[in-house]
Amino acid sequence: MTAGDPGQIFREEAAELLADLEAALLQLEQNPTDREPLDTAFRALHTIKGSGSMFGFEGAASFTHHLESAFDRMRKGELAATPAMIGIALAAKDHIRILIDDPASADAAAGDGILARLVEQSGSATLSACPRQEHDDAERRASWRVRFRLAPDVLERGTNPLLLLDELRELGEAEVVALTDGVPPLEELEPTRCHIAWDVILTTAHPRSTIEDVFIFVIDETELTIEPLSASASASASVSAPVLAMASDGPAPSPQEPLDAVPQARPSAPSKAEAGPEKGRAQPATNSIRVPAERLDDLMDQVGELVIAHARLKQLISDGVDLQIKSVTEEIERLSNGLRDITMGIRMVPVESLFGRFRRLVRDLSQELGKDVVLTMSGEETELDKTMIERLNDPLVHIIRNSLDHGLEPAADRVAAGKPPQGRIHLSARHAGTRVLMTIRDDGRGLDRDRIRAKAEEQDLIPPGAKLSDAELFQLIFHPGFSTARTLTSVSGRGIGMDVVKRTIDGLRGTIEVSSTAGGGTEITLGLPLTLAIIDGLLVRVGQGRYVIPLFAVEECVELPPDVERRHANRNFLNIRGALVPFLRLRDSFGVRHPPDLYQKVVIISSGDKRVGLVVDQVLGDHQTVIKSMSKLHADVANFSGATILGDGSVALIMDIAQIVAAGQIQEPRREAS
Amino acid sequence: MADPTPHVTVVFDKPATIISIEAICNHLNDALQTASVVEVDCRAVTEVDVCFLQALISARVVAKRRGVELRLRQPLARTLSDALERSGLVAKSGPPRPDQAFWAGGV
Repeated sequence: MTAGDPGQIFREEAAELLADLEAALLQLEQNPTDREPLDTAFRALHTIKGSGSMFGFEGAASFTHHLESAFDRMRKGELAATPAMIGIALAAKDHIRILIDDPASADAAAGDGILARLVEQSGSATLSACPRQEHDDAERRASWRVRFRLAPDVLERGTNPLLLLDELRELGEAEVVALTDGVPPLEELEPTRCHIAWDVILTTAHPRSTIEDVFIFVIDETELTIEPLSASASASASVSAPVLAMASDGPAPSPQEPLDAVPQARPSAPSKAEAGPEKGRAQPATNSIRVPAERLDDLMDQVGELVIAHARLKQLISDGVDLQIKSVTEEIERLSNGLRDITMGIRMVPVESLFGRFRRLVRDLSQELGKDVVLTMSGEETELDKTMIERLNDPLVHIIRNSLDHGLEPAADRVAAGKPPQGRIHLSARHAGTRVLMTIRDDGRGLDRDRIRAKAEEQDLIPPGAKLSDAELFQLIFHPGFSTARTLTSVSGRGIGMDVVKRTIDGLRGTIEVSSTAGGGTEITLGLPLTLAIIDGLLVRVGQGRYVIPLFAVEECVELPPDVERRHANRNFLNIRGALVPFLRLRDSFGVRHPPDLYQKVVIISSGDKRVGLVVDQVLGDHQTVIKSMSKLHADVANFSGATILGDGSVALIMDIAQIVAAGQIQEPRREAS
Repeated sequence: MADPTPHVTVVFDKPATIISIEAICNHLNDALQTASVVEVDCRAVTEVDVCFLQALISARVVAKRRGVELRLRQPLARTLSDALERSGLVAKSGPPRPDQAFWAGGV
């Protein structure tokens, strides 16, 4: 695939449109009389049909056409957005996705079945709606003056203006006049550019939005005005005289002159509501561009290299006295920091794009399980790196499925427990320092401590009667193969999933915290870094090696008193302001033979609800850490999640906090036993 | 310089669309430079688009300026007359469009 592959571009656009469609359908299901989601759904279908046909996805275009027709009728009030109709539309949307992504695998019978249900639903509704519609049409007919000049390169891009005019004619009676004053003489003509503009008097029962929809594929670069004509003007417009007068004698707009600039008598001023969308739609959409994700990744890589190069430069001149070079280096630092921040900002995507996907999941699963569940959200505008968003989909699906299947009780049980019959799942996101906290909360029955403990003992995950805090106990649900579900369902209960959640979140350098109240529900909070590319780290030395501890995990640094080892030989605990904090000697963990520094330091980190000290030889300071993946050869090395290149060109490994703490906990009993 | 050829007929009998529009313009331009009367024969044209309509309009601008008589041989191919009507250059009913006479075989 190349960046300009039209088929791939269409697939990407269609994916977004289908997401919009799904969101609109679910919104419509909640609020069947809301016009906005109805219009959104129609526009998405209209665009998919038109673009699909243009890019050779005939099957998808043809199938979409049927759904589009049904939604057009809904917009006209001929059909109601019933739950059954929304269900069919959602199934149709899934089928359209297959027809676009992998037409060969599309099940034609399934598609036919969807269309048959669509016809059945729309047919019965039509009978009762038609007579009133005819009456309404007669009352609603209005005349509009539609003037447009297409972008000069519109013909080169495959648009046929005659088809646009045909579409306008399909809406009602149209008097079309071509404005040819902009056509230059032959020797100056650029024959593949569009030099003609059009002026149309259209009498139709359709609203302005339908007229705008005709230009939906070209709206961004088209000079378009749509103005209502008053009753008197409408009457004369049917003779088309005003239009012709304007075409022949009036000041027809030149290619350089916007249509808005043409002097004209305005029969009636459009209402504010009418003028608003037109003004908004006619603006060229130059505020955003589509960029392949790989290019953003490449850009981030380059910025990372720049940060490393700057670190090297800074180190090289650290002993120098040339003030001019120092000044330039500081300027480069300022610029590279700015570039880094901007690049990271470009990669940020609101979590709404992630959360939005779960509306459908909750809807379908709640129907499948026969539970009444509402999904609410907050903080959807919170931004996260795009790669993070992509990788969070599966873990969140697992968590939500578990909440729905095991967490939320059937309506009868809820009522018996004094709860409202409708269950609730709430997704939220918020910034907390350099992290994003994403929470999935349900108001179900909560985790069953006794059953988790019993299962853990049965699987030898904990010794019988082990003293564990709630947080420690709840972490066991992320153990591979751990499930307390008594029955297996198609939704969950096989013990597969939560360990995948844990693994994925660990891979993202994230944390998981679980809290639960018996009868009150469960809350799972994911702590995530803003980006996977560059992190703030604390550079430390252990022996002769240098390592990076992610700064988000660091709470404080203290000195390890030299007598601690002597007085507490086998008890690795420090008294930090009255609290006992266990510590790990990284020298031991890493097998360092180099003699230790006289005054060792302890970096206190927090992982989950644990505070742990990491004993190092020296704390070197904070470090802008550009994360590099480990080679395949070192991918399985425990305790490290990546590497970074330091200013002197040497490599420092980045510590995997969760793994190091876990490894330390395994070592601790051995040490005590010895 | 030789006297201009009094009458030249330019024939288009294939698809007259954006694909061949450069060549079409060249034909028209050559004819307009060498003849005092240019007749465009589109009776056998099989497909037309807006590019072709523009080219004819543009040729007419040049013809008027140079005093060349430019006209379309009638009857027009169905595909061309359809395109003229769809584009609003010709009205089947109601008041005629400004240049309708040209499309109907006039100058």
